[in-house]
Amino acid sequence: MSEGPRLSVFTFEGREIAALAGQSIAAALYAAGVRVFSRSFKYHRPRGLLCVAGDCPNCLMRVDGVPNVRTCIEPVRGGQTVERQNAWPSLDFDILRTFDRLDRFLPVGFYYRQFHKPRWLWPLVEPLIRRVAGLGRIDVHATPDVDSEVTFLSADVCVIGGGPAGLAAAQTAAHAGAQVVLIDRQPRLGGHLLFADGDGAGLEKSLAAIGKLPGLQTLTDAFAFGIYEGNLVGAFQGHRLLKIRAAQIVVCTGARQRPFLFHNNDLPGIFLGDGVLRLARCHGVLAGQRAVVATDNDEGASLARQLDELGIEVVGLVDSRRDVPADNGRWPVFPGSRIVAARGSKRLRRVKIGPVEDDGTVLRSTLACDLLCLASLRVPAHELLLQAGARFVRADGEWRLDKTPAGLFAAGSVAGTAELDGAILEGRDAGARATAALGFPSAADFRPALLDETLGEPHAGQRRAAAPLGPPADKNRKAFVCLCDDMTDKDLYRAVEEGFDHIETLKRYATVGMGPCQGKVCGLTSSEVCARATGRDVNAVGVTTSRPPAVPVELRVLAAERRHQPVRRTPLHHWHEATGARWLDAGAWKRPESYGDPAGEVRAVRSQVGLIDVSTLGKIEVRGPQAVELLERVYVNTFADLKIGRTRYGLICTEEGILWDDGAVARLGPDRFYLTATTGNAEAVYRWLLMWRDTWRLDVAVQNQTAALAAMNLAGPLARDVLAPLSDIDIGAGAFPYLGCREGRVAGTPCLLMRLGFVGELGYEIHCPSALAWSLWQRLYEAGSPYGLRPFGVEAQRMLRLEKGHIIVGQDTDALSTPLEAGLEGLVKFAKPAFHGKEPLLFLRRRGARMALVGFQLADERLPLEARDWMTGWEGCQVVENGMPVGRVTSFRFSPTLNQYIGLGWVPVHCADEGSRFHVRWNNLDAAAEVVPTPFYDPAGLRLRS
Amino acid sequence: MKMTDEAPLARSPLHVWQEAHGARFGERHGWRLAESFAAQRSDLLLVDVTPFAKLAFTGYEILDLSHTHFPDPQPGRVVAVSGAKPGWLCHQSDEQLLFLSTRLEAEGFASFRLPGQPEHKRITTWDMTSAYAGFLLIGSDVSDVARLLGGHLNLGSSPSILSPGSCVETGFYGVPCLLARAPDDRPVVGMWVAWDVAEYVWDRLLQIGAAHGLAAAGGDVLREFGWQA
Repeated sequence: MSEGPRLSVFTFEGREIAALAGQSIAAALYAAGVRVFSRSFKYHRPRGLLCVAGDCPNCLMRVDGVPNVRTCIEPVRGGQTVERQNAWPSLDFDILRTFDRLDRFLPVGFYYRQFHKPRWLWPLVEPLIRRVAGLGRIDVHATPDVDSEVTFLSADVCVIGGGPAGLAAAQTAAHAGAQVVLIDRQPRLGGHLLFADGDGAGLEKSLAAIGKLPGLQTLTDAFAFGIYEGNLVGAFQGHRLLKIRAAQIVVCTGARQRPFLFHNNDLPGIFLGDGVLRLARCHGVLAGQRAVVATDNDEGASLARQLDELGIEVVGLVDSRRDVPADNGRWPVFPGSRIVAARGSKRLRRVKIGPVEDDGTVLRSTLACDLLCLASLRVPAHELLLQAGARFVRADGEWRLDKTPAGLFAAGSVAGTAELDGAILEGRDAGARATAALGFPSAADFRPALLDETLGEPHAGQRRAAAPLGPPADKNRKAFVCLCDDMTDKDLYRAVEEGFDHIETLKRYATVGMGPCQGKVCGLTSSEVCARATGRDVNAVGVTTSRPPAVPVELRVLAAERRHQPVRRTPLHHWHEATGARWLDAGAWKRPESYGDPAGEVRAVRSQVGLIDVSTLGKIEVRGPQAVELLERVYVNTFADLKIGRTRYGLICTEEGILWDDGAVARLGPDRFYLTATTGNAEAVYRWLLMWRDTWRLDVAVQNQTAALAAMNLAGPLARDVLAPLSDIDIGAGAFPYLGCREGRVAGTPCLLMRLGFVGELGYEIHCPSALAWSLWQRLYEAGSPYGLRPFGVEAQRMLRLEKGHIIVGQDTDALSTPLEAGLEGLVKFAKPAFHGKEPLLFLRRRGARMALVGFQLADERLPLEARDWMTGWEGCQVVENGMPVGRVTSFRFSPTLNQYIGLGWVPVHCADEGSRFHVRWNNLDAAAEVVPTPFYDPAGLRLRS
Repeated sequence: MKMTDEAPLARSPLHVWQEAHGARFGERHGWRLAESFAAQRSDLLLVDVTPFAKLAFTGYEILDLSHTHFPDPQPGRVVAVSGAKPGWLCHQSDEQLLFLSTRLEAEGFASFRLPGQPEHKRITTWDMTSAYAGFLLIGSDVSDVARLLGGHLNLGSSPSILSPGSCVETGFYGVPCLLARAPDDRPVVGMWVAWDVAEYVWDRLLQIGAAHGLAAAGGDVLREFGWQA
């Protein structure tokens, strides 16, 4: 990278830090002299940069209040506030480093054994452990910024990884005519070529050619976190969730180096080889001045050469292979050797070198250095492939792809091909096979642009001899396998000795691979340690199950799809709007709560006539020869004896006997029924009926007409006077009695009318096609005006139905309420052969109910005798007896009709008799209440039957 | 409110929006229709076709009926129905066919039967005209429509959804919708959603379409695209 203009500074721990354009936060901090970036999870050991790729946990910091940000890949933006995590009082001096010296008391799984005797000790110790452990902390008082969006993409081929293999695969597939989406986590395409030696001109030229291809969409700074069933790729770009459905997927996620195991292998100053090159070539920062390179393959020599070219003094090349020249004339080479220990307090000062086969006792040399570069044999970055069902095996010392499921391809170093030309051709082949599977013309002979360019080659071949793990751990070694959770190989050996010898149980007991890296740094190493500790072949040990997300994802990104909040409007919405309705959100529905005077609306319904829009009700048609059978089994009532032209109030229970929904059931023909359901359950009841119809294989058609039909309730003593002139139906009291239903026309509009009494007055519920609702409502309003017709809203409706003691399922009932306790036992027809909930309800009937839903009045002189806005706050209040909570209030209002406080509530059965007294606790007031029979209003039902 | 003695007129859920945006209305076949808008016409149009009839056919013998009409009886296909009642027939699922009339008519669907539909009670016909709101997206090329919708549809199937003679149920801004395209080369894609979310979806389409020059148009543009208002 070249010198660019300096950005405005960011602050770190109170210091102002300047950054070059394009630098990451970690690179800028490193350039400013910061070497300790974090403290480890358990021992609070100092940790420095390692991978510079966002894979390890060492650089996690808090940025602008967001914890656990991977600063090595987080770009600098002016004005950021960067803070340490998990260290006090500072990163350079953390007082909890004391734990590092107490490691003998904090072995693997110590919290299962230590501090549990005496028993009173653990409740004291556990909070302390939770407090000092962990990394970033969430500010629970912060309001999250929920600006995330979701983008849905479809492609013939999705290529994950924009390195040489991925570029070749994408270019080949696009050349064949496929629609291709190429995603890469870095800000620019190129993969490891971005930090290869060379001037990068060849790569730029190739990218220019590839960018012109039609049908190829590239997404950079995009992280794929999962491959899901049906070739769905989950990814994110910033705060945007990407859901990519592809017919074929090509995974080219590359390979990564990993730390060797030796004492103090976590000291700041120890880097993966790629990390040093990324820091230098992508961010313009040299990682050190005196470097030792440790390796087990040819890349070590290449790395040493590149370090030398960058101006870093190479003071030694430690190669585990014995058959390498001991002297290359440039720097000392130590064949057949390994790093046995790194020394330094808060940063690397020197390394100790010993023979490969020795346990660390024999030393060959000690080298003073400030940088140790680990050029280990690469392992595939295979998390996504594992999620998708691919399998890897270890053979000849390296991990290789064994098989992939249909519709999925892999190419490049993730598939085991490290050489550049080989990776490009393998990418080409993968792209060609993916498109051939979809019927596109063959692209097997296509020549990707990258093959024609001179590209840097950091992967100079991998003549391999993977460094052995070293002898089993001795008591003095802190050779970390899992940097996230401070697990050493000694810990893993101990866990195996304790019996956790299966890789999955070892993972869960030792928590290895369960930290921020999710096994990227430690996963395969832990399998190899487990194999050595158990004496088994590593392929028999296997690897742990890989699950999404493969990279950290913010919850607000995952929730992006849920941000859309559809608004449902009835066909009369704009009429209500124009009339000054005050709105209520009932789920996604907009409903008029009132038109400004709920008490006045109640009085209008009681004395004259009112009109309410109830279009949100669920409406379901059931037709067919076995329609009765379906209803008999789903409802607790019986409908076999329901006459044509009649309506019945129906209850639906779950199989556990819990009251789930209610509504009207109208019989329109021998095999034709019309059901209503509650607003919130409409879709669920419809699907419930479909499911049971299919389960029982009944010959019946079910159709959800909730959106197709509008509904309005004309209620009040003058309702018949309003309706009669408009309808061709005889709605006289004798011709159309209470609970009748008729089909006909009202004001020329085809309608279904049901005489129902939810609000306790003479009432007609009128259902018509949504397209004609506006016209019908207008005509009813016009016809009703001379009679004082007023529209009324949900609040008035609630008061009216409460005065009648009618329940609202979901408000007056909950997930434990049954019809027997809610006073609806008379509706349950136990004589039916079978219905949902029959057996549990029979049991309850035999046992006897313990709670009961009752009506009550408040008679407390301290309460004002008029409605107040805070009345609704009483709903949910406790019912108390002798000062102890024994139940709750579900509905409560001041009744303008009765001029008193009334409510419904759950009380113990011994308090349920008429005249029983209890108290309702509201804030500091225990108001006296008395059980009264329901309905509170018109108990004989004369008005609604008029 | 204006009082009226007129015969009931059906209206689209978008009626108020159309009024507010200068639509010129006409009355046809029992509907109050937005025939045109005063705004300048664009190359990418959004037209409300809610008044056009929709019929659903369900039942155990739907598969038999599917075989009659669809060469490849997999859900996701659309065929054109010609004759007295022209329209698109969508194979929505193994259990439902949906007929979308392309001619606005007042009556005549009560006893409507698809060609080849047997006299049989095991297929039930449902009038869904008021259940769905329908919109047509019309471009100079279908790729215009694809660009507009791309990224906003929760597609669970391949990108060939907008190919001629295809339909799919998908999600749009949290709302289930049916997309369909007739088996011809006309650059017309239809979207059908539940009546009660029509305004929400219409607003969202115009919102995402603003950058593409999407403009609302009235029924007078439909004839050249095979729909008769």
